[in-house]
Amino acid sequence: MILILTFSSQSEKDKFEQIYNKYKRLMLYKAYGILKDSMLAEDAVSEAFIRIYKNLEKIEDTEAKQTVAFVMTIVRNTAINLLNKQKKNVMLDFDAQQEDSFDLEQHVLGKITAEQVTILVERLGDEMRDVFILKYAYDLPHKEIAGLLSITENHVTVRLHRARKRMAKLLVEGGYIDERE
Amino acid sequence: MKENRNDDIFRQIAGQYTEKFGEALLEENEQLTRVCADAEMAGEDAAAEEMIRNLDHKVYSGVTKRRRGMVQMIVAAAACLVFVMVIPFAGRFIQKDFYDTGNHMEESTAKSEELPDAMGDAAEALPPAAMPIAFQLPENLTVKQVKEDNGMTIYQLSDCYQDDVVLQMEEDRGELPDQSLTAIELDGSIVYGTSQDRYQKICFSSSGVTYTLTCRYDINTLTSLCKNILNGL
Repeated sequence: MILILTFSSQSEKDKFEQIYNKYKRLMLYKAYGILKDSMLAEDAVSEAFIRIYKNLEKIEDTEAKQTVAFVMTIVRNTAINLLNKQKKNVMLDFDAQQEDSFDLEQHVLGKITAEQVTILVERLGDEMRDVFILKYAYDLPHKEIAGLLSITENHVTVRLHRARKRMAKLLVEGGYIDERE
Repeated sequence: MKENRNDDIFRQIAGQYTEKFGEALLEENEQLTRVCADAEMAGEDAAAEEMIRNLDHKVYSGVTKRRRGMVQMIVAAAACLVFVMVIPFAGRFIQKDFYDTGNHMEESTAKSEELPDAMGDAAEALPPAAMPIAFQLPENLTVKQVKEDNGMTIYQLSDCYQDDVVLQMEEDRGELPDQSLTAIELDGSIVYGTSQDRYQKICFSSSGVTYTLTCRYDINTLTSLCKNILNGL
């Protein structure tokens, strides 16, 4: 299948081409790492570029860290979606932990390193991490997040709610939260 | 106020993560580009180059300079032309189709009362000793798989909101519910359940059958199914 992409201006086309040429290898590499299949990796990256094309106006600097993180978040999601479609059985996770509700209002975030932040966010898991990052790093509305991740808005709301609860719990468990004086 | 303050912390974390993640990716991208360039010069890694060529063919060959607006105008004009040509003839077929549809609906309704719609193809694959589903599944759930295991019938239900359910049915042996479960009142009946991180469970007995329902994310995925079972819907 060949994608037919049209652009309303030359600058838009140039932006897309820059993103494509700069990151296609890395995107294929990441997708292949998840899918372990070259054809599926190509499909995942193609799908990712469709979503990038539809959200091109959100990208300003094609070489910025935020841009490459955005692009990789999308391709990681398309690859995982494809991987889930390949799986036939439902796998229920019986990792049962009691979840306490936690109010962050009375606490402040203590000093936390970049490595610790990475670990915290990765511990959210694929589904919650992506909505958390798209919401809080890129400030996207639920409808756009739903479009990017190919899920319903309701799903976005549910996953975001879970992500907030889980992140609050991780902050407490990790001792990153300090009591207000 | 509480939600805003929490959001500030989350934005801080997400921003730091993206910064770090992006930095690592840019470094990785540079390394990968260097490695691939060296491999290409040495004539190695043909598989990777083939993937790139395939991707270029899929994505890049379709990139054009055409204005979106112009394409839309052409498509709209073509649609108008088809509309103008087809409409005079369409009316003749609409009435016929309406009556045909009505007859078909009566037949479908009669058939649908024999088995719940959600069984679909799985109904044909029901193992001999398995208990059939004699209640209506909520519209978000459909049967994906069914198997029979030592007197227990296990249905895997696919959820359109991606919170798939496992439904187990077996003959009620009068056993007491697990002590770790909490009693919940549901439409006047008592069921027993638990709601934990990535694990939701409800179990109860009704009309001689013990039902155990589990899913991953949301207890409400199970309660609507439970209500249908309890109310005999």
